[in-house]
Amino acid sequence: MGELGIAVERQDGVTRLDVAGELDLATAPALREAVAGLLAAGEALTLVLELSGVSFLDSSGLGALLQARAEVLAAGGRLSLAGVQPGPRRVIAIAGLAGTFGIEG
Amino acid sequence: MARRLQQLARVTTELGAAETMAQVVAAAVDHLTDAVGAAVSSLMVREGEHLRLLAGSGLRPGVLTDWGRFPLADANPASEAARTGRAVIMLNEPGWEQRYPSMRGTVPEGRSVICLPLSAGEPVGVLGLTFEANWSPGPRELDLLTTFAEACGQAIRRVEAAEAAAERSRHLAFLARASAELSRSLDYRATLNDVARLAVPDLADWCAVDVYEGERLTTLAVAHVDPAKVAWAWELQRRYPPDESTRNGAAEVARTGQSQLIDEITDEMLVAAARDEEHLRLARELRLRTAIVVPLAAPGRTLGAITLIRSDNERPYGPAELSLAEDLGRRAGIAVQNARLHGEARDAVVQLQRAVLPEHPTVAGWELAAHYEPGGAASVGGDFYDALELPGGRLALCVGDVMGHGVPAAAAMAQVRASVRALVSVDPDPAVVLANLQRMFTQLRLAQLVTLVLAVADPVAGTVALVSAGHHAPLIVRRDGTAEWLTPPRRRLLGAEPDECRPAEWAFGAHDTLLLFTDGLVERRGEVVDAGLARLLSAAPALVDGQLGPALARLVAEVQDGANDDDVTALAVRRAAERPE
Repeated sequence: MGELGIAVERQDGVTRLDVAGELDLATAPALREAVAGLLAAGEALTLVLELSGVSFLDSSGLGALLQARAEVLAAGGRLSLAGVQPGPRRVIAIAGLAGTFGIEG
Repeated sequence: MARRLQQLARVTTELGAAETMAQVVAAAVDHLTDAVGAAVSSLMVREGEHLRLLAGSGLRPGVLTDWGRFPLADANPASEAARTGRAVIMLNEPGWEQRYPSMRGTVPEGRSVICLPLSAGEPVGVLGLTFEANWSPGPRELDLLTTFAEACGQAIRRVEAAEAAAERSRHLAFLARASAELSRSLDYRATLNDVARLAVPDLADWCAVDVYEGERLTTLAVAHVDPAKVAWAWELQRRYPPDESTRNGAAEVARTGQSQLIDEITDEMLVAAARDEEHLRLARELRLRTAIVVPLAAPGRTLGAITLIRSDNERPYGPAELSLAEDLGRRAGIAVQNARLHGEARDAVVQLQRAVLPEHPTVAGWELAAHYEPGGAASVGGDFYDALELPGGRLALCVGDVMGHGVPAAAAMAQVRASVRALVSVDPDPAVVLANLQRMFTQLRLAQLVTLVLAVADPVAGTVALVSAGHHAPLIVRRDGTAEWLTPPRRRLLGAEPDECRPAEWAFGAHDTLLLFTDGLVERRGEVVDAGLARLLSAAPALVDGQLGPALARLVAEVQDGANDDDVTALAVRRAAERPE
């Protein structure tokens, strides 16, 4: 378990959340908080989760991604994943969520 | 004369730039001696009610030990200068030994002696100078020497303040590191070991952590700066556990919650504390010099005590170390309490889990083996499995994983498992069961995420029908040892938006073995899960040999990652041997 690095960048109406580290039981809350912080303003976000720095994803991390997606959608926004590494990609695919997150299984 | 004054001025400037005690000593002792032509010089600093000789030049052998540290109250020129804050100047005075009888014989006849207080507000030390019999400084040199002594006092103050600041920041860095380390583990004994390991060598040469286990104070962690002495320190603790009857040490601190600071451990203390001759011998061998004992303090109660000891040639502990140690004791106490609570919570979850899951599932006509291993403190709770008898000799199997951990996950697990049982008894078609589960999740707005795989095996048709909701595909091992994945059409996990459900069916012969499992069996940090799946696939053929229970246990041991913190569940089934084909 380690620290999760999270950086926010806004450009042309797109919010990029750059996530780096292992997204697991220990770090999932940090992602939830970051997304909740972005949604606090109440605006519809076009949110891209940049995951090229995420080397490990477990079911808690997957839960955090799903929750983030549900909250962004509920606020009228959109969420997509970018740069997903092979390991996390497999986890998402096994959970049947490749289509949901718009990535190749 | 002019050259001397110039040199003195230069040394005074040098002192103004000094940043370390070594630079102050170089200026005040080595360079000043040359500049003023002194035969002997010595620099003493004040330590409470004592003066300590820091450095000297031209001193007779033996002075450094005889005059290493002496009371401020003594009758000698240095103590008087430090006490009064006024210079003691005796130029070619023959009678000064009468004034300071204890000094008799220490200074050769006829020499001039000057002791200058190093003033920075109040004196922080004394500069002592002795001149040859035929020479002594003039009034202008004396003036400059006074100025020099003041500069010296200020330099010492400055260096001490800088060192204190550096020590504070080292202490803060230590505490920050301690907090990070202590929050890393939820294992109670591992946390205590972290505490001991953290204290050595930054804070102590030897650290012992004693904790109440029930009513008894027990040593649970020991660290020593010399790895060879760790075992020895344990032996000492084992043979002489904390004595609850004494008024000193860990037992008293654990009972009262009051810290103890022993700046100097004397031999009398060792004698008084020793249980027997052997104990005394061991204690003396450890060369204990200075000790701090602080409570291991959780909010509202004292859990035990941390003992920190420095051996010889080390500075005695002071108030700064005491407050640092108390801070460590508080942080460690909270970490230990946390770990204990987690341990208790984990036990509760494991009990809940065990109560719900069948340890040895049995269904007539089938040989079944289940393996369930709860994860570590942080992640136990979500896995489940079940085996149900259906009409016509058929068998329904289910393995699943509720995401999350702890009591909520275990409770949700019990709920989902019960739902599966109920739905299977209404209509065992796995596709129907899964569709109903999805409907239930949507209608009840269940916040949990669940993955599961459902299988219905039919011995008459020789088939197995499967559905999976975001779960790993089961594995089948054929009679000849070939293994293959049975990958049903991919379905989303329960709790995500529902999707279309299609079942799939495979041949399941009389000697085939089917294996259902959760990700804890194949997942490892630092690798793509496919590597774990490949490991399982290549080890799986061993399942066909011998009894299923032992074969499954061996397979799990071979495949799983020992360091994994997750629940590990595996369920294997084949047709019972006595059943004729």
